[in-house]
Amino acid sequence: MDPDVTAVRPFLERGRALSSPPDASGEGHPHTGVRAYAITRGRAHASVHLEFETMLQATVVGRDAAGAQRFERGDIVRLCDSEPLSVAELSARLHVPIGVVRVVAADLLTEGLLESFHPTENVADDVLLLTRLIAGVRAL
Amino acid sequence: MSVLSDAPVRPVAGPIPVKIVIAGGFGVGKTTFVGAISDIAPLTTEAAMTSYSEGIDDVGDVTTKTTTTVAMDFGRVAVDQAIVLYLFGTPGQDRFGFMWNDLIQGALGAVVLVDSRRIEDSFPALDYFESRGVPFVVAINKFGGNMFHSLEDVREALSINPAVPVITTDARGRSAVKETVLSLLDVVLHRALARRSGAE
Repeated sequence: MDPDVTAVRPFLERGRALSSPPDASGEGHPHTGVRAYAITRGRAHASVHLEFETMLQATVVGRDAAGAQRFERGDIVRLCDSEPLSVAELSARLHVPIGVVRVVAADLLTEGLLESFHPTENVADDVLLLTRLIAGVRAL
Repeated sequence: MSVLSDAPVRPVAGPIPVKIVIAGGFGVGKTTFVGAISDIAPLTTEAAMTSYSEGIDDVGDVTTKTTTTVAMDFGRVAVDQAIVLYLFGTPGQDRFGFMWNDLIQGALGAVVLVDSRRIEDSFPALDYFESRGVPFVVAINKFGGNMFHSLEDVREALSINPAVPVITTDARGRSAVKETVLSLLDVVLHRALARRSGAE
């Protein structure tokens, strides 16, 4: 596993280390979780639920305000300025866990700096979309 | 989700993200598979996944909540002007098999990659998708043309529902990976059509 892992909830990580077998995967990771926790201002849950593949793009308001945003807030707005990016892509490109992106991006959405493109609800029943998807993959 | 009232109205509809999951044992070729079709080099992300275990550690007869940070590789394919297909590889270790709920949420289905020399490595993935009714196909990665068992032998060894496709693939080949994804999408579409006709 990437040694550069950032723990989301450091106190849970420590708790696990005490009660888990020594081969648990958190072993050897730098516990930079305090910082991750600080980014989210101590919250572990977002106000809006974002899936891994939910895509985000900066709004005009967000673009104008990007320079005034600090740390990950600014990074996220700038990264999805030119093209929409998923929560997972933002997480990978910023090297922060998905949970952190979820919390920060949810704030930015609520403040109108980002807009979101959610996965289609009940996508598995959406025959039209599935047909389009199949035609598109076939044509790749 | 309401945006600020002065935000401009988008002239065209935005992207439509869809997701499938690529599962299988460690080293079976999940990231290679994703990379063969992805528009971008596979990216790695970390997610905290939570599991619950009961009474198996020293603290006694309590439910212990455990959060583990796991790495996942994924890729992205622009399928048409709107649809963006994401392919997420599951974390390779068996013991994370019960932590996939967050990942599988909203996924169309899964490709279970199998190395025919290590069939048992795919059991946690098969158990997981079967028990949750997630559509999946089994794809035996040929690793450059070598098949160590026949498809029927593998099917029998896996003891899966006869309706589940068991196919061969080559995780390094774009067209083989495309065909594998299409066979999964075919299963998903047929399920959708069956549900629709059942509802009428």
